[in-house]
Order: sequence, then structure tokens, then C-alpha cells
Amino acid sequence: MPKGRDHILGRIRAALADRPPGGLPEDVAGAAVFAPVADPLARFQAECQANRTELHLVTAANEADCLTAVLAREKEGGDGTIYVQDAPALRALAARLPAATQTNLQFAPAQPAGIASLTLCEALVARTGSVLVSSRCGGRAATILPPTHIVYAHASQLHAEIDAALLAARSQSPTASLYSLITGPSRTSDIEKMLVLGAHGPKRLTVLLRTD
Amino acid sequence: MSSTLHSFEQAATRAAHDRPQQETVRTSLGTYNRALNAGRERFASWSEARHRARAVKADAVAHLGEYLEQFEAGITSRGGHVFWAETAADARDYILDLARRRGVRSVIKSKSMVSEEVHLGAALEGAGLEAVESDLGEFIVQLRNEPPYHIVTPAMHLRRAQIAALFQQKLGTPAGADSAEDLTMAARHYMRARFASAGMGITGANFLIADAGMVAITENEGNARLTASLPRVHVVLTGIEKILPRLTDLALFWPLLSTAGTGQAITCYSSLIGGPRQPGEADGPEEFHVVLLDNGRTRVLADQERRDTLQCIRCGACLNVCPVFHTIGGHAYGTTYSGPIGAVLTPLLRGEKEFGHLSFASSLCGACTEICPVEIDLHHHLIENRRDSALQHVRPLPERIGMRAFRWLMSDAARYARLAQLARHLLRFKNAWVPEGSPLDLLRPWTASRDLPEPPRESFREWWQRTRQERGGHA
Repeated sequence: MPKGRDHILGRIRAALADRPPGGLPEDVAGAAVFAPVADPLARFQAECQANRTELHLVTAANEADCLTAVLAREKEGGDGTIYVQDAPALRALAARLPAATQTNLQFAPAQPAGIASLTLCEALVARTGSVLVSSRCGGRAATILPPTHIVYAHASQLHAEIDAALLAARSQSPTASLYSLITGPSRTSDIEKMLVLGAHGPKRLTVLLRTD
Repeated sequence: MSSTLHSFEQAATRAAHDRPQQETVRTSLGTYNRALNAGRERFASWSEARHRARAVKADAVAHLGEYLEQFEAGITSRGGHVFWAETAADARDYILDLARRRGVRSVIKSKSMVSEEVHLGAALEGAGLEAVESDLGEFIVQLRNEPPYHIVTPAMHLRRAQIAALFQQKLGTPAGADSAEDLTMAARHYMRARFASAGMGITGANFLIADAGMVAITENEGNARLTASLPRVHVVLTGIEKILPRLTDLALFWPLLSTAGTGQAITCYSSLIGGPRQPGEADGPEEFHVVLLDNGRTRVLADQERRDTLQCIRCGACLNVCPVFHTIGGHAYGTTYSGPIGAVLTPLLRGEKEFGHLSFASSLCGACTEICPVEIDLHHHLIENRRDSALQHVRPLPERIGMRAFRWLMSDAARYARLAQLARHLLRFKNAWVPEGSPLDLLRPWTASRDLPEPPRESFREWWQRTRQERGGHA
């Protein structure tokens, strides 16, 4: 029904016939709103602690041990499977895990119905302690449906600000249908303003951050 | 008296005497205030942030047509559909028709005030579709069969015990499971099955990003993410004014919206969605539709004086600081958008005749204007609405006599001084001799619910006269 489109756009044009010329004034666009982030890694760590993201700084030497420990804790609840984004970096990491752990891993495109998911991310944001994922990180459900979401990231993905992270994601995955900036586990305060984690999304968000 | 005015007066009076509910709301707003104050500290300059946000949104509104076309091109390039709905009925019909054509039987919704505005829930149920609200607060008010109390925190008027009783009755949760955690988990469990079975997911939008051609959705619970991930059809229902020109504007608007809305640095899930599942993606909906609603917004756009109300980002901050909202709450307004923004916008969107009275239900204290993160001049717009109302209607006789007397009184300084002195003496005499509430207490209708301070023995004028010589002596 293009009629509605023409009518609405026509009314908008008529309504704005008086508008002043030009766009955003330059002095306003350049004004400082936030103080600059001095040390992105330190800020990221502090913000993760504040927003209840579980952050592990790892290196090539200890990342497999760290992930094994994280996955062992997830398995305590039962014999569930762990959904893994099918990416070379995660295949390589998984191959270095103990054999018993490997049998629980299910690579995409299986449905992420298990107890946890393990994905990559597009970028990290220091200012807010956030993880930016896209639909290219194992799909849409992988980063929202399982009770625990584990993210494997590298320090080179860390940006001080949200806008830089968004632009990086857009250039890495220009055709993605979804981007999501995740800041801590799912939460609600709808009942008497009391904070409860794990409203509809993951109850736990764990980030393994390679610093070497 | 119009029926909306009559029901507003009744509901407001009732709510103003509902102390337990006011207590619940005030406790909640106390928590909000502490979080807001801490949140503003995270900005180098909160006032600069507001100033810049106003400039960005003013630019977005001033070039609305161009930006909307740019947004639409982005959505369609990924195989999404954009429908331009002139009225609430157009929006409802489009969504119902789509549901019918796709054989949808159940719908999962995530929070959208525009869906309240067009009464989508009732329309879906009327068409025989099961429609469940997935946001916890929205779900609670849906179970109670009432509209959201507040645009950001829909169930803020309810105590935990009331919600526990509701869940026991409607969901069969066990009697002891009454902590916030228990109740949230009960809703999570209930909703998981609905997410899995729904054929259509309906969300709102916080921003429409023109240069990226994507919809930005802000939420804490993850229900909007699930709504946009699991069902095979995803529909976004939103207003045309939600435009932001650039993707990078979100670096300001995401923190600004969450700070003003809840005091958080940023909400838990700040997502951008630009289409259905793309080639090579593991999952996602087969179809993606954006319904852009006008429903009176272009009329507001044509009003130069009040055009800036279209900058509103629906953070709810003006409600949270409003003494009228504190007293009468969100339901008394009888409108989708309550509080100061509702009192300004509803008469413009839905007609002065039925909703003009809302602009009069304000003390004009200006707290709303002071807090607004996009610098909408809310309390002056209330005055402008009152002016329009006065021009269009004959005001009640007592008000007309009163305003005439006021003009007569204020137009002569000496007259004002004499009569003010007389009034002071009369008031002091009344306070001294007439028992409060007795038949002789003519001010009782006013003082029954208000405090009138004791007038001073000496007015400022008299004090000035008396001490003038003294001061002159010192000079």
C-alpha cells in the first residue's frame, strides 16, 4: 500500500516547509560529553565487575585450563551440551580441551538449547564493560537463549568507546542482520526495583580475554 | 464536562487518597533518584550531553522525511518490509492481515508503547490470537488486565505480595515462592514455552538509525532479543519520530536513554536489527516487517511551537520527577503516555477537546523541563496548550470572574498594596477567631487539603517603608 507512504511523506514535507537550512551545528557535534577513557583494559575490568560480567584474563598458555574449569562448573547442573560457534579459533581451542569435555561440545548449526554457549564477539567496549556480538557470532539465539554465555575475545578487539566498536563490527560483518551490545547478564528490576539476574536471557556472562 | 475530564477527576481524586500505592511508587522513585544522580556523574557534563542530544534529535526531526527514506532503503536492501501506517487502524490491520496470511496462532510481544497506543493487544485477541507480553512488568499488568502504570516500569505501583498472589492464582506458582527472584524465575519458565511456540514476535523500537538502516532496541531482560530471534516473523511497530541520523549517535543516545530511564550506565541489551535472517546466518526470522506509525505525529510536526515534543525518547524521566505523577500515578491520566510528556502530547495527538484538561493538571514547577535529556520545553508547552484551550472554549464562569478580578487587582500598584494589606488582616482575624472547619470558615474548601501559611504581621512593602530612613542614615 504505497498510498500511506506518499501521504505521510507528503505531510512531513508540508509540515517542514518552514525549516531552517543546514544540519547539526558543528560546535555542538564536537562538544565533550564523556571524559576520555585513560586505560581501556583497566576500565573494562572495572566495568565488568560492576555489571556482573565474569572476566578471565588468559594467555595461550592457560586459556584451555581456564575454559575447562568454566565448562566443568556449568556441567554441574546436569549432563547438558555446550553449543559452540563453528569458527576456526574455537575449533582450535576446543581441540585442546580434555577429551571428556570435548564430547559435550556441539558446533553450529545445531540449535543452542544446551546449558551454555561459547561464541566469539565483534568487539569489546571499555567505557561500559560490554561485549558487542552480531548474528555472525553463532546466530541470534546463541548469544541470548542458553543460561550461560561464554565469550572468547582478544584484547585487540577492545575499543574505548561504543561508536568505535559499532563501526568495527559493521566493517567486519557488514551483512549481519543483528548486532547486540551486551552489558552483563540479563536482568530485571520490575518487582519493587529489586535486581534479579537471568530474567529471560543468560544468568551468567563469562568473558575469556586473551591478553597476549 | 467531557466524559474523559470527569473520569480523570474521579480517578485522580481516588489515586490521591491511595496512600499505600503512593508509598510503593515513592519507594520505587527513591531508588530511581539515587541511581539517576550516580548515573549523571558518569558524564563529563550532563548538561552538555542534553544539549548535544537535543541538537541531534532536532536535526533528525527537521529532516524527518529524508532520514525515513534512508532508513527504509536500508531495511528493504536486506529483504525487510516497511509499512507506513497513517492511523492506528492501518497499523492493526496490517499486522492482523500478516498474521492471518502466515498462519500465525500465537504472538509473543516485547514492550512497546506504540502497541499500547494502537491497542494492538485487544485487536490480536479479538482476532483469536494468543498474545503474551514477555517483559516482566508488562506481563504482570497484562495478567491483571490493566494498562502499564509507567512507560518504562509498567508494574511499579504493585507490591511484591500482590504480584506473588497474582502469580499463584494465574500461573499456579507455589505459595512460598514470593521473593523477587522466585517470581522472576516463574515468569522466565512460563515465557520460555511461549517463545518457542510463537509464530510472530512483535517489538517496539527505541531508535531508527537512518544511515545504517537498522532498528535499535534497548532492554534489560533479553525478551526483546528472544522475540526477534525465535519466531519466524518479526514485526517492529514504532512511531516515525524515533529517527536518529547516524549509527555513531548511539554512543551518546544509549547511555543517555538508560541514565535518564533507570540510572544505568547502559541497558543490558542494546541491539540493532536490520532485516530477516541473512544468507549464511545460523538462525533468525524468515520475515522482517517495520510498521512506521503516523497517527497524528505529522500534525505535531506542523506545529512549529511544539514540534520539539517529537524529540522525545520515551525515557520516562519527566514522569519520575513530576509531583503530579507522584500524587495521582500513571493510571488516572487515562492515556497511553502519562506524566508531563503525556499531558503535552495527548491533546496534540488525540485532540484538545477530549484531553485538553491534562495540560491544566500541573503545578508548572518545571521539574520535567529540567530533567528532560533532550531539552523539551515541557512546562511551557503545557502553558501553550492552556492558551489554545482558553482560545477555543469559554472557561467556567467562576474562573472568568476570578481572572477579571485578578487583572483589576494587579493593574494598579497602590490598589494591590491596600487590598493585600486588608486580606492579610482578614486572614489573621479568621485564623484567630474562626475555628478551622466551622461553618464560618469560608476558606475551608481550599484549606481542606492544603496548608495556608500564617500571614506575616508586616508585609515587605511595610518593612521597606519602615526601614528606609534607617538605611538612608547609614548611606
